[in-house]
Amino acid sequence: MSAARAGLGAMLGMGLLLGACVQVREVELTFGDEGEGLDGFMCRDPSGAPILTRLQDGAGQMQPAALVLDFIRLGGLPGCRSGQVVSWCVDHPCAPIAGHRACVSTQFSPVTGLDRPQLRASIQQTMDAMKGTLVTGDAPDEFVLVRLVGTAQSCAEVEQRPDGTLPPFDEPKLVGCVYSCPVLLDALEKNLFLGFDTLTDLCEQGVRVCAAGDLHWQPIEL
Amino acid sequence: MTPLMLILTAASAALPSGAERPTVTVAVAGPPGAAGRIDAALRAAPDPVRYHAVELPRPVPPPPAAVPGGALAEARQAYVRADFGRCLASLGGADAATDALGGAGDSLTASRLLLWRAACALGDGDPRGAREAAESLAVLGLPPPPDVGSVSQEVEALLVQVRASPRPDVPVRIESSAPGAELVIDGRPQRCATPCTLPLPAGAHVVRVEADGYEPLVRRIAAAPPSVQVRLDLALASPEVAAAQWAARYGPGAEPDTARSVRLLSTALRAPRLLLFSVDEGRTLRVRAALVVDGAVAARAERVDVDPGQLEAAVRGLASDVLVRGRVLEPAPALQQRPEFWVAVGVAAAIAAGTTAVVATRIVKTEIHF
Repeated sequence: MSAARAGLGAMLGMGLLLGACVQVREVELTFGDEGEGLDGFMCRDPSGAPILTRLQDGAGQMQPAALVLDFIRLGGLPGCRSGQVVSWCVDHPCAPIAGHRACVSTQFSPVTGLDRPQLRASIQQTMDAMKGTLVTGDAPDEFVLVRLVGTAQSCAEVEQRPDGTLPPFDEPKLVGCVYSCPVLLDALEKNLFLGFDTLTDLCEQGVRVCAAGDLHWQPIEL
Repeated sequence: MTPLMLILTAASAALPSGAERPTVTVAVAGPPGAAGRIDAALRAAPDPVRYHAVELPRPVPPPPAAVPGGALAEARQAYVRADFGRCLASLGGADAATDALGGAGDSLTASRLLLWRAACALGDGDPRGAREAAESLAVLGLPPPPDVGSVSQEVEALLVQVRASPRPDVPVRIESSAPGAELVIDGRPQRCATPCTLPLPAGAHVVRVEADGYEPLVRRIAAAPPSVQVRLDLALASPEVAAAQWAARYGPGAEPDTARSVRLLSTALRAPRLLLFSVDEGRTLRVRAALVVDGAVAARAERVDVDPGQLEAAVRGLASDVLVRGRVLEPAPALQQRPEFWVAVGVAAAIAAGTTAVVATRIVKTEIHF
C-alpha cells in the first residue's frame, strides 16, 4: 500500500516536472514586409478576374472567407521551390496531417477594379488586421510544409470529418493559397514566411495544385 | 528512495507460512527489576509471537517430619512410666522408621524410633520385637541416637550384641527407567547413579531414587544373599514436583541456564516454548538467552558489555536471534527475495528514467499566430 502510494506520488511529481519543463514557442506567419508572399491570393482566373471576387455575392458584397491552415507531411525533405515540392509529391505520400487543421474566418475588402499594387495592399491590410490571432496552439513536431488556403467555404465545411479524414476543398471556391518551405516548427528561430511561386497573374491552376490534398498537379477543367 | 526505505524498515522475521502466532513463555533470572523491564521490552517488540511472562519457581519448604517430635517424647515418657504398651503405640507402625528415612531422609528420627521401639518392646516382654528393631538399627547403619543413655542396660546390651553380629554384604543392582538417577539408600546419598550395584548389609533397606523431571520413588528392599536386582520405574514429574526440584537444584546462586536446568524449568512452568533470560549484573550487564522447545535447548545467544540503559534493546535482539535460530520464527527473506523490493526498485528506476528523460528532452509546444 505504501509502495503504491509512493509510486502515485512519484508519478504526480513527474507530471508536475513535465508541466514545468514544457517550453511554449510562438511562430508568426508572415507574407514579407511588402506583402510579396501574397501572390497566391492575387491570382486571376482565365477570364482575368481575381479569384478573390469569388467571395462576392450577387449584390457585390464580400462574404467572409475561411483561412485554413494545414501542416502537410511530406515524408522527406524536398527542396523549397514549388516545382521541387510538386515533383516530390508525385511519388511520396504528401498529405495534410489530420487533427492539425486549423481554420479562422476573415473578411476581405472588395477587390473589383483594383490594380495589382492596390490588390496586394488590400490583401496585406486584411492580413495585418489578423495579427496576433492564434491559429493553432500545438503545431506538429516534424518536418512539414505549412499551407494556408483561402476559400469561400465556411470553416464548418472544411473541418475534419468525424471519421478523421479531411474534406477536399471545393476548387471553384478557392480564393488563394500560400505555403512555406519544409520546416521543423519546434526548432524555428524566426517568423514563418508563406509565399507562392508564380511569374504571372494567371495562376489559378497553381492555387488548385497548392490546395490539393496531395499537392498533385491537376488540369483545369474548362 | 522512499519505497526502498519502507522495505528496509519492515519486520526482520516472520512466522512460517500459515502458522498462528505461537506463545513463548518468558522467565528471567537476574537482579530485581530486570524481569519487569524485559517483559515490557518484549511486549513492545515487533516479533509475531505472544510473550507470556512467568516467575521462576521458588524454593519449597521441606515436608513435615513423618513422625512428629511430640510422639517420640510421649513414647519416652511412657517408657519412664513403664507403660510400654503406650510407648509402642506412640511410635506408630513398624515401618515408621523406614518411612522417615525414605521421605525426608531423617536418619536421627529413624534411629530414635528404632531405639525406643527396641526399648519398649523389651520392656513389654517382646524380645523378638526388640531384636528386630535393634537389627534394623544395625542393618540401616544408623548411629545410636543421643538418648541411648536413657534406656536400660539390657537394651544397650542388646544393641551392642546385634551390632556385633556378623552380617554379610549382598550385592544389590538398582536400575531405573530414568538413567543417571541419584540414589539415596537408608537416608544416605550414594555416589553412583543408576544403573548401579552396591554392597548392602543383608536385611531390609530403604531406597530413594531421584531424577530431574521424574517423581521421586521410595522402595523398601530386602537384601538377601546371594544378590538382588531391583528395577524402579519412575513416573514423569508433575509441574509442581519439577518446580520444587528446579528451585532446590538451580535456584539462587546456581547457573539457571544449563541444559538440565532449562529442561526441568520447561516442565515446571508447563512451557513447551520457554525463553529464559539470565542477567548478570556488574558495571555492565551480561545477558544470556536460552530457548527451550519441547524440553530441548534449541538455541542460545549472549550479549556482553550491555549498558544497563540498553537492556531492552539487547533483550529484543536476543529474543529475535534465538526465536529464528530455534525455528520458532523464520528469518526474514533476503532483500532481493522480497517482491516489495523489486516493486520499489522498479518505481525508483522509473522515476530516475523519467527524470532523466525530462531533463534531457525538453518538451516544446509551438503556437502559430498571424
